Amino acid sequence: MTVAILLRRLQGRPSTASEDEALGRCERAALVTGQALAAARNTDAIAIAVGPSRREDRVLAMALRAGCARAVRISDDGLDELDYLGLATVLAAAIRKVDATCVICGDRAEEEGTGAIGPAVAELLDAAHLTGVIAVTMDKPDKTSRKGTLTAVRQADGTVGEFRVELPAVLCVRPSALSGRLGDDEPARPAKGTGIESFGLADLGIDLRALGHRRGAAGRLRPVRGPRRTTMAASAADLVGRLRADHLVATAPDPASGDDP
Amino acid sequence: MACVLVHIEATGDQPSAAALSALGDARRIATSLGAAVYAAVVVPGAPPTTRAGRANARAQTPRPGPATSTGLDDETTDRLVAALGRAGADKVVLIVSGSDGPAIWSSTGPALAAACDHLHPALILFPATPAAGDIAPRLAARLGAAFAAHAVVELGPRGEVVFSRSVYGGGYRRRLALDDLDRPVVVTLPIGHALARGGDDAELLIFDLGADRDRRVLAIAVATPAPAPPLRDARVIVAGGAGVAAANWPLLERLAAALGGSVAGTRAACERGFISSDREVGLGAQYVAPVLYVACGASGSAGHLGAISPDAEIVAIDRDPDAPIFRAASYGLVGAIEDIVPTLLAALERR
Repeated sequence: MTVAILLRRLQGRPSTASEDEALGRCERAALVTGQALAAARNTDAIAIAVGPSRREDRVLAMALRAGCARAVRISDDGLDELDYLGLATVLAAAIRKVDATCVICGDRAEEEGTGAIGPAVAELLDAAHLTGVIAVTMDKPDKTSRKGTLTAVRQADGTVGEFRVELPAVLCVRPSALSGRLGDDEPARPAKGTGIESFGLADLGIDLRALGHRRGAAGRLRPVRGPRRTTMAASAADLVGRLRADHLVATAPDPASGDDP
Repeated sequence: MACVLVHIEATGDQPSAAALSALGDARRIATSLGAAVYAAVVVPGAPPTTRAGRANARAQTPRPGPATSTGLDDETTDRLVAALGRAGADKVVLIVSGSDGPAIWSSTGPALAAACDHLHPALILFPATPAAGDIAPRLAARLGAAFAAHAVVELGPRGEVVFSRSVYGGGYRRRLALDDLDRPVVVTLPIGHALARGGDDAELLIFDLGADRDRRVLAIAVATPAPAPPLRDARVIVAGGAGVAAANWPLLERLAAALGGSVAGTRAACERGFISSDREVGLGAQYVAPVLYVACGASGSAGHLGAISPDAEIVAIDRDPDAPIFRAASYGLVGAIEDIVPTLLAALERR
């Protein structure tokens, strides 16, 4: 079993790397979870990112320092214009190429937060998927499943559920106390990989023209002009008065009425 | 007539509040487009019974055959159909899935996808719940659809339908126009409060399309409820950020109690251990849709603000007048939490 970890550099503005942090929280949890899973099974973890080297190499270098055996960057013209399904098509091809059966990715990115890539990749790979995962363990080999299974803990709506997931699978991970921590630039483990491999679309057998219908399908991105108008209150009493006037806060009961508050 | 399909999460005859909110948006869009609203409820199904025979007699099935049981008795079905009709549905589709597990893709998705193959909806709407997070994007991928997450509906004067979402910390909006696309669109909608008013005469359809659940993902342990109620349904939330010192969190508890709400925290507050991570509001944690959201000592990061419904009225309290939270808030008050909250509590007690 090879573990693929899908990473993406946090972006402060569209197509521009964030100057503050390299990875969003979910991607960070994916890196920690995927690497731990690979280490527990004594197998390889391969980090995969889509985008130009100036943006994505920092996170791939982090992945190598975290113990990933390989780091793969997919870069080509026009990739940033693809919608979720176009990107998922590229990632699915890369996952097939590295022959990974367990895919770990972040539950959602912080800039746009659509959470669509993992389920879409699973659909294209015809793999099982589960979102909202906060912990994963590999099950012992079982006669009932020749492909192998994972146990995933999913947190949603204030509840926690445990699921058995058959491989191949895509697990979309979100941060939790269970997913551990990873320093941004500090090496967590000795690097196993030697460098970042670069794939183009041709290496994956993809013709960008075939994805033409996925360009622009994500909609248009427009900068927001002008801040929203905020009513600044002069005091706590002023604020409560305004909230009551707008019926957002109830008026306190009249003590003379004898009603309980 | 074009079909706008809404995925409904329901318990028995009670559609969830989130589902009714999405149905309200669907009604507005369908009226604008001249389309029909289909409320799709995935039900587990059960062995055929005599009661189910009556239900089936009223239904249009794409594959007429033996009586299909939905697992719901007639009275429950009638109440559910009436509730969804009153909330704006023209037709209520009960889709038999053969699974009663938690609402995730593996239990619900294949049956829903089979129904979409039959109905060919132009637009498929989900309330932005954790279930939708698991089901909607995979359904979109299966249908080759465009996808928009957590988007609000904007109706133009000439009937244009645009799904819009604030991204990159509020610096940009991503807008997806229905007219620009020649494929179906799947959208998850933030949970709002505007409900539609429909009639009592929604038509019932029962689909048993033979779609089996995806058996590669199985629930093996019953979900355990967290000690506190989920934030998703809270009408008032008082959220603390890193700017609230540990000693001042009891003040937030008191403020939440005075407002009849729940306490939550930002990522920074949870990481500092001020509040449990299951109370975190953020893109990597929970989305919330209260009427009133009081943010105390929170700077207003993209990851935090992006998880709050655009319908929520945000009150920002922070000592930094330049904090980004004040650009997103409806009301603001500058000052220290330990000074302001006690005076707020006193003001709330006064008539």
